[in-house]
Amino acid sequence: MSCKALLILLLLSVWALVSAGPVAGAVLGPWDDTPTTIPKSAMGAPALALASAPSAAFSIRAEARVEPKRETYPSNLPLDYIVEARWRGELGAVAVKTPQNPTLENLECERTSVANHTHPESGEASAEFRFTLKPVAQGAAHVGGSALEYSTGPEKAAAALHVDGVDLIIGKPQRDWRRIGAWGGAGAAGVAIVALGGLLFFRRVAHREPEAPPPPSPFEALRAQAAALDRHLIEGDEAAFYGEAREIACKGLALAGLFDRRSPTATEFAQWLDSRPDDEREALRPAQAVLEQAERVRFAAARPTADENRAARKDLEAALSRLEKIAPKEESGEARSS
Amino acid sequence: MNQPGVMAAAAPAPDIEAINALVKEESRFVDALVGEIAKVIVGQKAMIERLLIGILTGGHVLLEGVPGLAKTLAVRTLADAIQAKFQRLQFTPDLLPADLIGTMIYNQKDGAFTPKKGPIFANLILADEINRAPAKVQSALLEAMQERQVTISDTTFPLDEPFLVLATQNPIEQEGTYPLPEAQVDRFMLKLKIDYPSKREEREILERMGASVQDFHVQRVITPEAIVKARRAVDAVYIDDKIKSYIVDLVFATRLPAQYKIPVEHFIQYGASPRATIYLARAAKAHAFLRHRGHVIPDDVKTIGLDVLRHRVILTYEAEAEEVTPEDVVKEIFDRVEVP
Repeated sequence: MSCKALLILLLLSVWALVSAGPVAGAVLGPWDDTPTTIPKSAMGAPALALASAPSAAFSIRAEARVEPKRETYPSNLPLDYIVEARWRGELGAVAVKTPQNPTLENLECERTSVANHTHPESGEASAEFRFTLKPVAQGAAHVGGSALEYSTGPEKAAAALHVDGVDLIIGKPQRDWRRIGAWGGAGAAGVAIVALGGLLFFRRVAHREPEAPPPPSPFEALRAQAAALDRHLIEGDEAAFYGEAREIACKGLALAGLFDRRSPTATEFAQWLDSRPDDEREALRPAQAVLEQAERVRFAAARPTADENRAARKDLEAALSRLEKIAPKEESGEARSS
Repeated sequence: MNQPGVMAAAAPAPDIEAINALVKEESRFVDALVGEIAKVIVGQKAMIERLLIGILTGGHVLLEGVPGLAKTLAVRTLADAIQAKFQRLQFTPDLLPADLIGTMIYNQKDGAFTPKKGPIFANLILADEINRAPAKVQSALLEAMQERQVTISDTTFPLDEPFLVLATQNPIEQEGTYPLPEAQVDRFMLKLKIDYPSKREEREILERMGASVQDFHVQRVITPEAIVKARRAVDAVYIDDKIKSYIVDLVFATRLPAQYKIPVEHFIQYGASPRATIYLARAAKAHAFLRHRGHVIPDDVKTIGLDVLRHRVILTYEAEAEEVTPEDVVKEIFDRVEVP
């Protein structure tokens, strides 16, 4: 064997050892610094670009693809350009450097992400670089090729795999029915809520109950009760007329805080009245007259004349107005507020 | 609060004007009689009024008060003013029933037993310190009060009309006494508690009674026969159904105070008897008569209510322990039962 032949044999052995790397643990193959070029895919065909290291024992390959796979990409939806390096062996056997952003035509890069995967079914691992792209306008678009640098160990020299770019066609914007449905539903719900609120407001405004007037003061209530006394006379029930008149007078006395007895007799009231100051005594004479007349009618079967009935009404009204003046003010206020 | 079933059936409308006229006519003596008694007795208007109620209704009166409050003098003056036959009996532990009602005396001339009527045969009897006589004497008196007749041997003698027993008892000095049983106390229409006179009255008593020789001439104002006639006018006094219901409510409230929301149930052992209902109505009528009124008003019932009910409400030991008196309970009932 000649020297030239021995030199060729030595070079081949070194190349095989480098190609196998630490994963395979085999003899490395020859290092090819020249990126492997994947043939450009046809326009409109599913975008896929592949590259692989020319090694028999260790193999690494790279591919580029676009997801989702379409012939025409709607101008209003983003798409993912994915560059993936896949090799046989463990995930940590190969360190893949994040590639530079590809050159873009009629596209904009929204965001990038990196993910590593293991594939136990095939004994492979992969590094995935995802570029989310947004179409700029309708028409032809292009994603430039990328170079994936990798190394199989810290002391090993870096190699690179090259993937070709892909051509895309950006078509008309697609209606996103799901989004439209979601927004439409939200809008309909909003409209419904606004309509319901409006309806409630309308009903409240249009059919608002008139505000209840403040409750009358106790003396106003008694005066109203006294004003309705004549119904008993219309029915011919004078005993009921005077019974209620007496009740009103007693309530007025109690409200004025003058007489603490629950229901005083006319005599008891007269005796009490005698112990009061002159002005108060004179002021309360009408109340005494009501009580006495009530006793005559109710217990002596007296039949008063119409004039006497009118006089009793006047006495009762006079008694109430005088009692109201005597009544403590805070009591009236409390009663009114309650 | 009316109990169901106690409302009286509707009666024809009474002629109140006629009743009023009758009462005014028949009650003219009242003011004169009270005036005559007032010549002797200072104050004690309530006692005099109750004595008149007793005379006008035939209801006996039990007076309770310390000695010296003119109980005996008032009764004697009343008897003088109506010129009624008056007897005073001082009850003592050795008194016998025969000393009260009389006995049969053997007459040696004709060899026959003749009845000798006792002091009970009078119009007005003052049984002084009734609780000092033994039970058999008390029974004899109380039986006569109830039956208005006395049987001596085998002969029954009706008592004179009007017949009224005014008994007194001293609330102090209870030793050696025979307290009246509740059943016998119930036969008294009214139980009066006589109190001391006021300062002004005491001074007036001093002015009148200061001399060692007193000369009070009480004129006769009415005869016993006129009293009996006046009683018929008292009976005619109109009492409305509402007042009747009020009286029944009051008596029921002494028995079932809880039904009337009166918090005295634990103080009452026994409430008032139906006799209280009768006497309340009769006394109220007589009170109206004394006011020259032909109809009863609630005030009549209220005025005499305490004197009718105080001895008919039997209290519990709890009430005694808490020093609650029958007067306290009855007053509470009158305050709480709604006036018609």
